[in-house]
Amino acid sequence: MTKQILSRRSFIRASVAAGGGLMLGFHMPVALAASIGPRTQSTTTAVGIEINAWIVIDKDGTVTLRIPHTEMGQGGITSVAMLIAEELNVDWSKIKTEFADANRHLRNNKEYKVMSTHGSQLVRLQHPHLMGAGASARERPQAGGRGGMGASTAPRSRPSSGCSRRATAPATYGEFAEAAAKVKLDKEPEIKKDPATWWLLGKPRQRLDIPHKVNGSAQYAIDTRRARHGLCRREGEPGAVGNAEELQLRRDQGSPRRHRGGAAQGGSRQARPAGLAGCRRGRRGQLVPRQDGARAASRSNGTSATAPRPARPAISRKATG
Amino acid sequence: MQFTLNVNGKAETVDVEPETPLLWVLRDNIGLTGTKYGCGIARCGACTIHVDGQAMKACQLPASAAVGKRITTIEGLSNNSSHPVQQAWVEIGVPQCGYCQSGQIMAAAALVAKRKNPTLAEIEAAMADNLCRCGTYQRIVQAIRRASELAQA
Repeated sequence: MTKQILSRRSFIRASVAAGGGLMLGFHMPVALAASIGPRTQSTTTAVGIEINAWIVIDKDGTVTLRIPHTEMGQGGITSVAMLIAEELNVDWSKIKTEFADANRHLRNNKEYKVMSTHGSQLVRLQHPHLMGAGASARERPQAGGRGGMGASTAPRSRPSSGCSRRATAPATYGEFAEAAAKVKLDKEPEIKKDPATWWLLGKPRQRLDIPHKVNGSAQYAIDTRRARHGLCRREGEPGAVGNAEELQLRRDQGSPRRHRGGAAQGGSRQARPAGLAGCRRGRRGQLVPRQDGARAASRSNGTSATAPRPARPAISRKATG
Repeated sequence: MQFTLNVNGKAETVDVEPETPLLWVLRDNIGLTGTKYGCGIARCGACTIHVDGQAMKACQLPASAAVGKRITTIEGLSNNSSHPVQQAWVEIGVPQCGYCQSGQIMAAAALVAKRKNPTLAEIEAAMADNLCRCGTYQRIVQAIRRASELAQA
């Protein structure tokens, strides 16, 4: 076989054309994929005391920050964590992150304010409420008369590995967390606006997502599996390499486009000899595997097995996506 | 058809058609999703794994062809990301979006195992089949050089 040279530029062009762009945001395996069905308030996995929607503190002092934005390699996880930690005055080495739950955001009247990530605006536009979340958590125990996570309401210029009660022995964040969670402030504290007072912002820190990206544990859209998750293969794959006649024949037959939802539904798959003929369009236009029997069809359609709905007609051979 | 594969030192019995690409057996049947699907035609390198220590593209390798061979994926490259290439990748901060990086790391690990001090030309030749949309190539070269230092330390 003649070796073809594929440049980066043509690779990008081809993959964008084929898939409408790969979905490259990722999440870390500790955070579960959000679910649509009714569940408990949060699908995130941090174990500890929730101070507010962004911050969970374990008894051992580990601080888990919930990141309501997408990490696409632009450093979103790290910069959001730094914004919160700056005000929280927590030792950077004690910080862990996980992704925030979009369902919680929707159910609780946009609790995270904004969950979209776009236009290089994350830090510029979202820093007030992110830093505010850290400041609020820091000040709550103090307002409750139990000292503060920063021991003082004055802005601090250096991180704290713990907290101190007034005139008593220092305590850990974990010990304060429970009290902090119960306090409601009359007025939320101001955030530190003067860069001269920042101990963390503006300082280089290693990106928090990188360790997950070197051991295969980072999960992307293609890695998501859910109940009744359907996977189809594109007609012609994996034998997408062919001679001119073969390729023309495929074009003449109307090679189906991939679904916009991402590579997961476009990947070459095993044991589906009929290709897309083995799939049908779901209710939202997505490709789902065609299953034999009315019961299976009704299950895929989300209807009751006792009242089967007839299977929908096969997907048109004409490209529609 | 049922057969047994040696994946990351573990015997995995799968029941798939023999021509099923190894990539999908690893991802869908065995659940090792660190190896990524990119182009499906062995041109982008996102699916690079080791078969008997050689870097290979899993998307075009029939699963049956790997029977009796030692398969290593990114998950099995080391414990705790302690492989010199992984250490160098973290130290240099190579990944951006990270999607291609499992493949990049596996290709680099095969190179570092073969060549103690690879030249730039050797690095470029070994990594030519691994594409990165984010354009992390310069850091990849730096990290491979660093990994070869770490491997000899």
